[in-house]
Amino acid sequence: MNGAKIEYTQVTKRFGAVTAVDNVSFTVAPGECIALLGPNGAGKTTLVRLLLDFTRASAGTVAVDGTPSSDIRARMGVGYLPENVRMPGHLTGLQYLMRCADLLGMTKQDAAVRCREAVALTGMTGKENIAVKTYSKGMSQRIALAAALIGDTRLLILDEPTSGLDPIGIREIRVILENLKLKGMTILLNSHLLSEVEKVCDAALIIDRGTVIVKDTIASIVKDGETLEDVFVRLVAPGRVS
Amino acid sequence: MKQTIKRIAAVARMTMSDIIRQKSFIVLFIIAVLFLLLVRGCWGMKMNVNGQVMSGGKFALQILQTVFFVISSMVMFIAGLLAMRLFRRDRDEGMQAFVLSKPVTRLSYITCKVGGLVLIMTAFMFLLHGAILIIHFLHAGEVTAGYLAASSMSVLNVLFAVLAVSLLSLLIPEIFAFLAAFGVTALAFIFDGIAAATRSSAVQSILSQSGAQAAGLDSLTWWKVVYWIWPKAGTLGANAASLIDPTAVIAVNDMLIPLVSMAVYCIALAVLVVIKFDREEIV
Repeated sequence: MNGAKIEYTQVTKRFGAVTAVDNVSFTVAPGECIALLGPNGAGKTTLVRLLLDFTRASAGTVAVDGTPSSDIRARMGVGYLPENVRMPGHLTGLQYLMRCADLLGMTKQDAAVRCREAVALTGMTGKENIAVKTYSKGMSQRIALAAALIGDTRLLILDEPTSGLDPIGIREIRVILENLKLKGMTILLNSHLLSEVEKVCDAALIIDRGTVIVKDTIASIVKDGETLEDVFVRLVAPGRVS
Repeated sequence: MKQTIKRIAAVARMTMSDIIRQKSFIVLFIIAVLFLLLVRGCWGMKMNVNGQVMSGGKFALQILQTVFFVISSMVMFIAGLLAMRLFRRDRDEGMQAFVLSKPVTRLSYITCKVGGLVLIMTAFMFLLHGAILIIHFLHAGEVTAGYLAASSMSVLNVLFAVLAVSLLSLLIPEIFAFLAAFGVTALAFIFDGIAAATRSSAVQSILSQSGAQAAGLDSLTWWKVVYWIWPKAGTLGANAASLIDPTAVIAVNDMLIPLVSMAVYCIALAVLVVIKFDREEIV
């Protein structure tokens, strides 16, 4: 599998007088697993939303494999797991996945096979025929992740995928991500769980008040005797936390 | 291209299945069926006009037209109600972000949402109109040929209601969007009713007794401008209902003006909905 390449070029996003993202430029190489880190309100979610064309840039361009995010071709092979997973409660997990497959233009037979594969990959086998309204937070996260993986996903965008999960759930998600990484998928991970990011991601982009503070490999950012959390605090809140 | 069509069809199917399973739709459907069962008895009624019993056939046709008009207006009202939460429901259930994170354009999404609802309501209206025509046939033994044309004309009113409420729901809270669109439509029915009454022979003869007043009708006044600009939903509905009377003679202008008025409004509203939704933040 070839992962997708992401390019942010001098991107600025303003909401009225507030500048959420200020002249941001960076590139994510195909097959790279990168974490978006930053305090609340730093502009991480805005960067993700710009990539999906959920919001439009005030200036600059966002492209996937050279295609502007406003073009629907940029969303071919993109899987998205939102921060707050919401699904129509009356559907079963499998029906939800079938809807996703339907939206990707798959045939019924193909969709059934892909959905079973995604269910198995996310450890939801045996629970896929239960209504999603009865799912726990962790189960909803997994079925939403399964939905993001249907089709030939080349870019996986995860907005707080472990939010609300117990330690076992967090670990299981990490294992899934590690497997996807091995397949060459590009992963954009927006998370506050720095210990998990350190274990899964190759690189990190730290953003604060809409501007990029650092973008480098985890190995380069984290010096000996430090953790990613130490680096994050040092860069984002120097002097605030001892 | 084939994939794009498949995706668009998927969104439309999704919209329709979501509408059909809504409690409000089921309740309104039951009310409509009860209404049909109640009006069934009207065909057995007798009516005296100036001491003379009205002929069965003519009276039955009058009932048919009235019920036909009521059904069209009712469906328009229901369509407006359902359009109120057309986007909000998707947003709350995460379906908007889900659909738009796939290779689906905002234009396709909105077309499917609006089109899906209009299609469902059209089928619903055709079903109710069809049921009324069967009841009419069973009681009066007449087949009304203009049914399809009349029902098709009423679809424009349904489209108007859906688009008006959809647009306003993107700008103001849904309940106010519905009330505002309902207010505009209600006024359209009132204006058209008044205009139709002033053209009746009884009112004309009263007005002709006063030369000044009759002259006043021909002059251009602000309320005439408002009347001409206002959407002709009432006239369109009434004209559609009159199509099912094979003996009715309607001037081409009388038929075209409301059709053009509503078509122009629908196109303008559709363009505004697309522009507004294109600027929306997807959550």
